[in-house]
Amino acid sequence: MNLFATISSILAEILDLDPADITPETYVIRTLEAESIDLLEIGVAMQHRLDIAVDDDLLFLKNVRMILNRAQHDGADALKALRSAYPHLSEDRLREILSDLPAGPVLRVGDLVAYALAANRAGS
Amino acid sequence: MKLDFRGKTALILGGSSAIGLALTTLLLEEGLHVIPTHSSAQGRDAIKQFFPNLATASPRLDLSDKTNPAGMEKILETPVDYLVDLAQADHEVLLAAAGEADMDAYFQAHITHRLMLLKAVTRSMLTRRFGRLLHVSSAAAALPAPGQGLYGAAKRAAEGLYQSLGLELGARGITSLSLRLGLVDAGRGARFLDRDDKRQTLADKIVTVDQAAGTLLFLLCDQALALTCTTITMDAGLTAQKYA
Repeated sequence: MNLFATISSILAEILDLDPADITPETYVIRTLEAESIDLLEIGVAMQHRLDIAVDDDLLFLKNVRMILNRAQHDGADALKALRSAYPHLSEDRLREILSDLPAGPVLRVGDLVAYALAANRAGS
Repeated sequence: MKLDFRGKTALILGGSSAIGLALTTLLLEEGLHVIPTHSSAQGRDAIKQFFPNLATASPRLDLSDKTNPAGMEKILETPVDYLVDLAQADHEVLLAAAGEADMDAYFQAHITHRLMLLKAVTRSMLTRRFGRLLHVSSAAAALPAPGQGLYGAAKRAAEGLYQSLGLELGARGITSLSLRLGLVDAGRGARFLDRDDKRQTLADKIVTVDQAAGTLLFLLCDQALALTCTTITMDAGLTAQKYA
């Protein structure tokens, strides 16, 4: 199963887009302008079409700022805190998120693919 | 008037209650597939007696069951278009006398577990972009009698959950409504009428089971879908007057 193709198709359908315009680097909220109701629908569609368990908070990186604030408050390492919360994301991606955060919501299509991949591995 | 139903399947929580059984009959007559839940062996037997063909498909659902809070797995095996929520345990106690464990368990069952079930059902409805949520509330949500504090508060909370779900998911075809029923001549209403010998004095304030079920049927149909994100009262005028 091509996870990227399936997820692109879901995004295109829900957000009324051309799948050709979607790449793994595309920002889901910042560029595609997905709203919370869209994210809910995307999560449900991924759950059903990919037959995976979906935790919306993890899938959509909803708590990144909260995790970083807590780490700062506790004097903990930011990267370590993110690694612990989002084990499905690579080290490079986590570093990217840290530097990209000031520009707005960091969620990319590739993050959804990484989540689905990890959920598939966990289920098999 | 011919009622239209764009959905096919109705899940009735508390389906073994008198209103649940009467509504099941009406929905079957409209050609819908009905899944009535039960919370006890007595309830299961009632469904079996009225609808032998539905007995094996009736899942057990007890909101207070902590090990299986919403009986969701079995319930969600079939996609549901309509949810009618008649599930509510009665619990009469003066609030100042209520035990802490008791109140915690009651609110957890009727608010948290109810929301868990609603979350699962509405996520399933989202995939089909249609769903109708109908919550059977009580006039006690507005005017509780002494001893109905937990019950009335839980009903108000449930009304809030339903209102918000309809508000948040309305753009995806999911609508919601709470119907506050007054004195119904069944279940706890019948026990009240019998216990206090009120049948004669309150005769014109009683809602019959057939009236309640027929109204619920209408509220489920396509023609009533604009009634959403709100609460309406059906109590034969019981709560309209200043003094009883």
